[in-house]
Amino acid sequence: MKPYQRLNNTMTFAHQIISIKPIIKFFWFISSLAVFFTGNIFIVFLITLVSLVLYIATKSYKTIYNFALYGFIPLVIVILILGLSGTPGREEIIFTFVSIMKWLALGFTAIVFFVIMRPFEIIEVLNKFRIPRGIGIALNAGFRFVPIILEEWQKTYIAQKARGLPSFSILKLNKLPFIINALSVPLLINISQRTEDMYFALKMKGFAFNRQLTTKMKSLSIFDILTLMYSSVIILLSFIL
Amino acid sequence: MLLKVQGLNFSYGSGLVLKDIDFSIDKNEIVAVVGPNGSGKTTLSYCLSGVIPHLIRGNIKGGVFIKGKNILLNSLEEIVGEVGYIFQDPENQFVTLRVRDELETAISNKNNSAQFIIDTFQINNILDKSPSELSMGQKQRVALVSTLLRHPSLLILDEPGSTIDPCGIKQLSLILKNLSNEIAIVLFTHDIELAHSVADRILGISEGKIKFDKPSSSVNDQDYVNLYQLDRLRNSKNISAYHQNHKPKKLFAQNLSFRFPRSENFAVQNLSLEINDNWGIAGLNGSGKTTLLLLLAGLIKPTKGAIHFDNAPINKMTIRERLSEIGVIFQNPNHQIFAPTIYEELSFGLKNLGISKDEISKRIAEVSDLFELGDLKRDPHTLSFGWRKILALASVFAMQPHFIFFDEPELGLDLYFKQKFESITDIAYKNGLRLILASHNLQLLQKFSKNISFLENGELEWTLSGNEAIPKIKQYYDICSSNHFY
Repeated sequence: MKPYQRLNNTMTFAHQIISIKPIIKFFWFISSLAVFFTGNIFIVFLITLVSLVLYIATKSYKTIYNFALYGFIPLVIVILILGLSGTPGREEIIFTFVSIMKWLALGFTAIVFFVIMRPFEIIEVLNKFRIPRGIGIALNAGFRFVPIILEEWQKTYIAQKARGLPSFSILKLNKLPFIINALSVPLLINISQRTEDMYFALKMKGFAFNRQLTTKMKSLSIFDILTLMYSSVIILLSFIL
Repeated sequence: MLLKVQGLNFSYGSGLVLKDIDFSIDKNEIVAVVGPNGSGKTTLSYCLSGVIPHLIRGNIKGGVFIKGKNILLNSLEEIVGEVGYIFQDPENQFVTLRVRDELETAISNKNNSAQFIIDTFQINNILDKSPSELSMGQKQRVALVSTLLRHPSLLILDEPGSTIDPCGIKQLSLILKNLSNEIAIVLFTHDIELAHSVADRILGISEGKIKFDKPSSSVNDQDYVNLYQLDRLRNSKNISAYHQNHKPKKLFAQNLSFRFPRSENFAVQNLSLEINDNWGIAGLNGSGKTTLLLLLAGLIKPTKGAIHFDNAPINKMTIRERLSEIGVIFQNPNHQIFAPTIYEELSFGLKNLGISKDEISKRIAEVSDLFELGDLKRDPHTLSFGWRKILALASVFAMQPHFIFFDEPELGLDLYFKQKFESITDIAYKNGLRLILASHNLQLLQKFSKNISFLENGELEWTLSGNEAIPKIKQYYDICSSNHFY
């Protein structure tokens, strides 16, 4: 019995998506990037819709990666302002909304990808492309550190606020170096400590010695086949249309 | 004999951290290593796990043998299967973003009886959660499971009880006792009670040397007085400023609710309190104690409800007004220490209070004497954890607030610092300071709380006088530790 099956006690739709083969999930991610290279409204709409459905189905909006979506908000506003300023015609309006859809599709796809790809699957895929395993592990540890850094930041900020750290104000720029110092020194020291612990943990778990970390290729499931078909069709249509 | 340590000496550079360490551990034995902050416990734990000399270099002599294999001479690859290590904060050892992945990486290394261990520790319902979403007790169980899946012969735990509630500690004790049927266990801890409740033997270590190695039943109070040099403790002086001006004041919370962003559940819900004297807050991990402290201190904004300090809304107070009335001592002093010297660290809050340089110097002289901080030009980052916590305490005391909020103040402190902290707090209390204390430590709650509020899942269950509350909390912890996993 494979480890993943062994631990798998419930198989919801989200679980089915998560258990798609890593290389197929990676293929889906790459195919979704076609949204940027096609001018066809139908394909853009399809990719946006699918990525939105996956975003909701996998509850990606509840994860830490969702903050990336906030980065798209100013971009969408800029596109709206530029696209709809003056007296836009029908084509300008369509172009504006297609541009917005492209950026949203990219955002949803990227977030869903990092939610459904288990970190060691990313390493497995990178291995297949002969990218050194160390880079994969570093990437994985990097993801792991996103919530840790946010948590440490929050704790440091509250601890310094409790001792009267002034709030940043554009009117008190001279205090900025002091504020940065008070926040960054404890943050960096705590993160270094945690990094060291994680490094020791990795070594003590034998990561450097065990080359075979992930499961072998299993037979394709219906979800694998559907994803493969969808991704292939998207790439094909992007070239044809 | 499973583990044998023979003539072990270690130094990171100059000065020996471990001196002539000799002891052995049999299979099925639990040994607790206790000792003051900075006594060499962590270094010893690293030597037993192979981190020293394989990942941390230094000058090492002697031998550490597991099943006859010398850890110091064999490669780490040959040791990893034999030794499991649980960090003080288990979250630091999780490498993946999902509990399931964490366990799978362990299984793929040695594929055995995984489901049995997972079922035994009841973590089936959290397999798809991120380690950051878990409670402290759950993190510790996942760390234990992922370590046990590798079937080590020796399990090392660094401060295993420090982050979990008494209910969790009782369950952890049972787990460790059951595990000792299969493997040997070494705990490095400040928790004397835990050491006596689970360990067959206790090793006292100080200044890098073993001071005693006895069966736990024969370790007595005098052994601890000698080990922690408790006779160094001097009677705390009065804090002059607390003789003046502190008229009774009131902190009043009405229908308080708080929800973290993106969370479905309230961390604190519909809570009303009127605090005018020393107050204790008790509850299990995740019951909302720390969140309530932060709300009452005005450091986070409530989702609903209001907090008033002496009839003024706390959110309308300026930073200086708040600082002069409320101080907060956090669990981990490392989140606030940033200055290059102890003097500057102490003056940070005082400067923010806007007081004169002369007054700052006077107050720093007073607290540094009271807390025995020594050379004020020293870099605080070079202090041991215990001293850093004392420094954090001193920096808040220097601001002379009316209320001080304590969040698990004794976490990570050894017996000497615990007693020092208690004697200073006691004298400050007698001089007018009021404490709000969130803690699992019932002895501390009883000593410093007129009233105790008990929280469960963010809701206030009851508030009782200290004497009435303590037996009720003890009863609650007994019931919960026998009913379900923490």
